[in-house]
Amino acid sequence: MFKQLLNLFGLTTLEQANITTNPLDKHFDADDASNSGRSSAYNRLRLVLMHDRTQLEPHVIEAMRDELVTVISKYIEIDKQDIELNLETDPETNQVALMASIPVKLKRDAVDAVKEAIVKDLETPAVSKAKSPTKATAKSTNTN
Amino acid sequence: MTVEKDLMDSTEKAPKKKPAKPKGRVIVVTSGKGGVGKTTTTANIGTGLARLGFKVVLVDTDIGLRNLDILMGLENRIVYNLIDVLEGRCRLQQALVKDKRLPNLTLLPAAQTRDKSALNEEHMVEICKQLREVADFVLLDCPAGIEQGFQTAIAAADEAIVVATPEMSSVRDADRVIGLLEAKNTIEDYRLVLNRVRPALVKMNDMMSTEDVLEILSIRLLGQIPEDKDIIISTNRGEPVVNIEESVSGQAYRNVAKRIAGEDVPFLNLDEPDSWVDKLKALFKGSRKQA
Repeated sequence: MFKQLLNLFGLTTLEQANITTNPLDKHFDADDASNSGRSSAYNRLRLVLMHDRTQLEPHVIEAMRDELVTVISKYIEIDKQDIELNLETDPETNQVALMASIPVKLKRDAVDAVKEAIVKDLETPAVSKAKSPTKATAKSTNTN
Repeated sequence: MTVEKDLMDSTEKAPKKKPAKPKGRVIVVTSGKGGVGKTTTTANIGTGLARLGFKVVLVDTDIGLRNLDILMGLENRIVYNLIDVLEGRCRLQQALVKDKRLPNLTLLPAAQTRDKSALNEEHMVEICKQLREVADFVLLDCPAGIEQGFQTAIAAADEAIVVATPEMSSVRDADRVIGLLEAKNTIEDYRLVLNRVRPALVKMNDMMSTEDVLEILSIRLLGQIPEDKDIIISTNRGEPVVNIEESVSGQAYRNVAKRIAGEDVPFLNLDEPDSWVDKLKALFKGSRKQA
């Protein structure tokens, strides 16, 4: 009975402790900051200024995107719907970069080939592993 | 100023020793966006520099929309203006209006009944050439916008002060202005005066901080001026707030003037202790967010 009570007591204090040091609290704080007027002004402004500074209108980026799709499709099958083309700033150097994320479509048998290559790679001794050409192939096609 | 003058005299005698700049500095105060405090900043920095003993001329280049005279409380003393000088109706000296208190501070007013086309870049360069012979600092109050009036005002300047408030539209316009100042290779240096900073709002994450704005614009800070009712009151009296000793914004402007003169003055800490109202607001805000 006493132990039970203590247990109960211990549990409640533990729970209380949990509440104050809850990682969720931190999450709430972070959430609060990222939803704040301050950070939305900051982020919106960064985006607007990137376009201002490069003098790239959104429709120009669209046109560039379409041309990129045509060129890359000549060589590799890509997922045309999910291409992302954005201007981003390196927070440290303030250098603006054009970032393209182009998902590559892998065929079923191609995926299998990659898997096979990885398995083979794992089976080979550690020394030759680093230089294994199969690994290089696996890496380059592993974008999906 | 006397020290500086002595220095200049000694360099004239021994020119090999130190090639000091013999002429006054021409500084344009600009912002792109209107209503962010260009004219207030011009009046206060100019008065601040004059209080330090420098000889200062303020030039209102906002032809047709003059206001610097009102902020200086000199609107009733204007006889001639900048355009009168250009068109030969008077000598430059006659158009300079002396400040009410500081004898080393004068204003060259804009014409109110003319438009921006009455003043061009060559005129500006010529006027500033004459003014920098007689003054340590020539401050040019630039019109809003980035059109001809702006181009005219920056044509003769060695340095620029970019004024912005911590609001998106103001910072965006300031970025455009900075781009144009950089393209102008006669401008040797430019720094930011961030006006109407509200530390309480920054603390609550409701407004961009001075650091946020500096980072976005990649610009050096010349000073941050807190939002202050003293500015409204002093403007209504025709007295720059820099003359009001106990005012925080006045102190901020006095510091800016010292920095321009080359003194290393630490930036004001604008954080004020939390009032109970702020604490209550924070409490409500927190509970609302979590609900």
